[in-house]
Amino acid sequence: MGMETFVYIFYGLLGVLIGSALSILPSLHPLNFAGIGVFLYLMFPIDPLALMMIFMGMLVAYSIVGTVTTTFMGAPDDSTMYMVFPNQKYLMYGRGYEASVVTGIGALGAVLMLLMIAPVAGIVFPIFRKITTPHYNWVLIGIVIYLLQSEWPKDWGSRAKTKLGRLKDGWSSLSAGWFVFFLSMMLGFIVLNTPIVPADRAFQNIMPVFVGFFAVPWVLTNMISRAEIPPQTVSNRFFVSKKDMLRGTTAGFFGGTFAAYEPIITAGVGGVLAGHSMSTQGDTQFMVSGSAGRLAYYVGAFFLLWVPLLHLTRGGMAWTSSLVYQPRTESDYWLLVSAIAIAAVFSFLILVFVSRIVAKLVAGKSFKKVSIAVLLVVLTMVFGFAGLEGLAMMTICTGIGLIPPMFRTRRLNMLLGFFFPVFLNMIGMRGDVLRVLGVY
Amino acid sequence: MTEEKRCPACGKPTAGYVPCPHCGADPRTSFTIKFAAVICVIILGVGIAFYFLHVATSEVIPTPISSIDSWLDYSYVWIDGVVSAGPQYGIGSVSFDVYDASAQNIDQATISVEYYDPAENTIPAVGDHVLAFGQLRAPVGVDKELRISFPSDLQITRAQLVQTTISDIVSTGSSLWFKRVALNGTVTGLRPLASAKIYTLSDSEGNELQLYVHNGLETYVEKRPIGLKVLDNVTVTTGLSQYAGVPQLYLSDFDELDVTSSENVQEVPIQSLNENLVGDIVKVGGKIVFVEAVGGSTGLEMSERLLSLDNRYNPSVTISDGLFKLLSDENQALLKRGATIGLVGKVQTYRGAYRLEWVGPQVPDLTPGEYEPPSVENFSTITDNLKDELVTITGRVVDNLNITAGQLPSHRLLTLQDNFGGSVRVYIPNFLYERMQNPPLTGQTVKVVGKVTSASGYPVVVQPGVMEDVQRVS
Amino acid sequence: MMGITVATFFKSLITGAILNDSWIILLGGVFGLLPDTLDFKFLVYVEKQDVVIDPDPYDVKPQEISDKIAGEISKVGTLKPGEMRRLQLHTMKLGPDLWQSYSIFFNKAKNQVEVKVGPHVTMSGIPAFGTEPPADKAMGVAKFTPKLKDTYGRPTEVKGFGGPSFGFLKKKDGSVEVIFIPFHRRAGHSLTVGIVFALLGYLISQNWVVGAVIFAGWFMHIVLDTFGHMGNNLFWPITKQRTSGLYLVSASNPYWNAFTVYSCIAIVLWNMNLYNASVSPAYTLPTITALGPALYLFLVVAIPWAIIGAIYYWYRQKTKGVRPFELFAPSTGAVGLAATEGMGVQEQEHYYEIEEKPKPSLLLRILGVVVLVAIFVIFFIFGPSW
Repeated sequence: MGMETFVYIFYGLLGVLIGSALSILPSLHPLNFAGIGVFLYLMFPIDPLALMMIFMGMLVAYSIVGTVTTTFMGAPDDSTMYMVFPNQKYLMYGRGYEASVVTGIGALGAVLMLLMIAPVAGIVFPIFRKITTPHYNWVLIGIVIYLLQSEWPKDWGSRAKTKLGRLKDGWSSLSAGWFVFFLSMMLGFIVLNTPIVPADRAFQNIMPVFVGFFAVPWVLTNMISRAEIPPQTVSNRFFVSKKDMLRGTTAGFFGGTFAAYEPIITAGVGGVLAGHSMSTQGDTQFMVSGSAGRLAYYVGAFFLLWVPLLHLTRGGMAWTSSLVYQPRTESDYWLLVSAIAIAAVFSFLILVFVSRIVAKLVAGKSFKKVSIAVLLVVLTMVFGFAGLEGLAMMTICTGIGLIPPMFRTRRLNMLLGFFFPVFLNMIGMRGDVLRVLGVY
Repeated sequence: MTEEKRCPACGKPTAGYVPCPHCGADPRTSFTIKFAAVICVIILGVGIAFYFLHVATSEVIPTPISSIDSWLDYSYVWIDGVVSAGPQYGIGSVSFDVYDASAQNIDQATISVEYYDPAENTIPAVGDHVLAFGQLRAPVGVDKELRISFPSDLQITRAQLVQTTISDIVSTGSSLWFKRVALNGTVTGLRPLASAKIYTLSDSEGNELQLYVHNGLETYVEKRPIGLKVLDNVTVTTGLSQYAGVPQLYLSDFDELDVTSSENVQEVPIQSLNENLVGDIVKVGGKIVFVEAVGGSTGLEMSERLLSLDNRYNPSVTISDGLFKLLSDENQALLKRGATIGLVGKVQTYRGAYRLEWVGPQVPDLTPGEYEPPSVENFSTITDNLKDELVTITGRVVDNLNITAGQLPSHRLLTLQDNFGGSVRVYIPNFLYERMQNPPLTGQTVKVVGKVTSASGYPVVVQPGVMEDVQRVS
Repeated sequence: MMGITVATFFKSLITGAILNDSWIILLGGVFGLLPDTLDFKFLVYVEKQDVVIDPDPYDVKPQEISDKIAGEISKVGTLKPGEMRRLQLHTMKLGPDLWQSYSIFFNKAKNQVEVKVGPHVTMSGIPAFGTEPPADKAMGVAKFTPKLKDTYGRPTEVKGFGGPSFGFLKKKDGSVEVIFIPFHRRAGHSLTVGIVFALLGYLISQNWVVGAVIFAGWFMHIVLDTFGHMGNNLFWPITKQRTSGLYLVSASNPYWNAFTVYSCIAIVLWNMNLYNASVSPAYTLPTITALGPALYLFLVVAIPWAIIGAIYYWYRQKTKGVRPFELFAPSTGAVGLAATEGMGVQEQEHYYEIEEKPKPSLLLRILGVVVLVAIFVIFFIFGPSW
């Protein structure tokens, strides 16, 4: 084989450009475009391997450049919800550009770790899979139980005079967490079984849900802010410690990789698990672990499809793209790894460039006005992809999504609850529950 | 400690405090963009190194079939082996088995391959070497299967031909298995299965070899029956497969079979079957005086039909149910008591008596006719003396007993009463009774044609041969 | 994680999970986390509060606070040995992410309580410039009578979320011991309560394995907690006070956290691989089983973590002297850590050396490690028969 395959690297870079442009738009997700990409492929056939490289580029760009919307526009998704708080804080300190670039470096760190494990992935992952395959069910339910059990009360100290009063105060946030889990689970049963969006847009069924859970509530809470975004310092110096960077990147990478490998588990869940296991602390570690975890999750899930002797299909992008192409040889695998590396560097350069521009654009703007603009874009996106039904769905989910910030409970519970029906399906109990609910 | 008067991160005055009291930045733990640049350079360098690795590697790593197990369910793998069975044609797909010798046990080293939307000239046959890529399905408790969706995922190297004989194959064991062979033989039998037909090819020394023809080949590919007749001499050029250790030629195309000539079939009176004719193919004819269905051993299936030609004492003609179902509906309806039949079969002995086994594939000559055994009015005359005789009786059903048949539906024992007050028992086996559209009920008058025999501990019963032998009169 | 790990030693639980979708194995994890669940979701709220300090964030009076605290200490000095009074300190919330900070220091040398009011701070401890109180309103000092025993020796900051509680315990020698968050690691971290849960589990299920896995998960939590600074009240209600920890590891140390989790995962994989064989050979790697647990752990755990540990130790030594100077006293307190788990807190940096750090003897600490190893040896040997 000669160097003629280097053209695929350029397809990857094309994917980076497309993904970067789309990542700037809040609430969008590469999966929204994977389905459209396959449709376009069927209409205008291109080399399927080229399309896969474009998808890869989009994922890398989304993971790296996508933090711009989280930092500057305050529009998180499920994978960035843990970064949005520290990133926004930095924005209000005038360090938004720094936050954006530092999270990008975290993602680069994750890429470096991915490259380090690439040579042994073909040995380690098949072994892991062979041993753990019969244990998916109890491991998944164990993760759900752990996450529900490990939520600690977030009260300001109860002033109630009686023990019962103090118990009630302390459990208000925990009860809200359980309530959110329950509501999301009910929603999951309905949405995943009888989609409300029109059938011709059914592949965007979940987009309004996630937008309603994460992006819109955050934007709404921003809208009640009277703050003005201060001038942003754009400099080549970043005031965070490398130790925090390393710790955050390591935690995020392992959490994201675990989430990529395990079915149903998403980047946010993986990030929390990794954070607990490595005792992640401080804003820097949270920001960096969030971005590293995001990259490890999205790109890692796609990467698993290509690992020789594994070919594990995880994540929406892998499932959608496997309709078009299946990686076949070790050579395909090394091509992907190489393309990820080059795409990541290119994405980081775009991130630095875009962050500089956006930092200057938002400085001095009212956070409220920025949030209104973001909300309008989000509403337009949801309507465009999922129609009026999608907007209705998004509104319902926004109601649920507002509970965590109001009652100081975890947003993660929404994810856990929403995907719980998928887990029940895996263990064969979903039909029974659906019958009880009357939606079967 | 005083470092800078203004914070380099947010630009606000710090009054000497470190970290900055406005934004928390600490200049002493900072790094520059050079750090990120270094990481980018490292990643780029490693990425380019991996690209060269991509250029250098092009080999395929096949997975040994014996190592494929349920933990690989839904994975994509390469397999490399020889086609050991197939192709089996279906609607929109073709399946075949691949064997790669990765285990001593053939079953462990064999996988079924399902090839969807096969392109022309991309279907392998037994003996061909294949390199295939597809998705594995290997759930627990189910045979593993590889699914191929693209023709480019199947690379075929056609097999070399080996000239051989039936006796060579029979005597050499497995050395010729999964090779493409050419040999001659004579068609001497047919055994229909649910999804295929197995012809028996014989040579002059009496050695036999099976020829497997999948029904899909006739239905979906050639769209016509293969048309082989007993005693056709054929030249077969096809792959040699095996089933349960028995070698079996596997036809993948009608062009692999050439009928070179046909032997004449000797015509013999049915009553003249003797030991000299055992094993020979002969033609017989006569009037069917009785058709007796024989049930299977485990369920309600019919295994065969025994025809009595001209009288009950001549050697029977046996037609297996599978062969019977190969007949057209018209011929199935004609093949009944009273018809005159001419057919070709193989002479054999069964429980000390001679009989003719219809081997097919010729369609029997059938001329419709009527026959009814002598009628018996007084049932009390039906005794042990009439054993094995055919009788016709008409009477009123006065009793309908169930005779237990284990887990299966019961046999029935009817008691028919004649006009003289006498009675006789009619024994209807469950596989016949369950097929009756209007089974006889108590109080009805029925006509039964059957043989006098004993059954289920009853010394004298009349047992009908087929469902049509029991007719409701009123 | 440790609770799940020890549960996977039970062969019947692993095979039950595979073949019958049994979730009994998860009881190890549930009861492994239950001690902290009981403490921080129940016991913290039902703790007796003899005195509550709830300052006005807009008019903080440090002298009043210190007088109250010192008064309590002096009061306890007059009680009988073994009696304790509990003090609850509340935080002062000013906004969504703004708190009025203050700190409490028990100055044993001078027999006084020092309350210092600090600036407004965020959750992460970033102070708001210009919000420090004037000097005359910044400090409160009050004397107490009895001799004080404070094993912590550093100021305790009160900032975000819920404030800490202190117990003042009268000792036999007349001194008063300061007990930080007295509700923690008592009933909820005792072996006796674990035995009760185990017995309940056995009685309900009539299966000794259920009781055993409940106790195993619970027990390992307590064992690991003992490796830290704060011990447990192991035999509540028979014993009254917490033991000291073995001071072997710190809860926030990333190396030990990651090492523990990694080792647990390695052991879980070992057990899965070992017991999968009795369900189907498809899910097991005989090569790994053939290594044996000792060699497997040596290769998979000991070697890589020795290398990582060496690098980590070298890095710590290299960066020891270089610490960012904190504007304010460093945040401390296990309650702050626990209450904000998953949200992030300021890293604990130990700037002030305690004059008499009451570490247990080296022999005891080695014994602790030996006991832990022995527990695992027992699990490895006998687990396949459970």
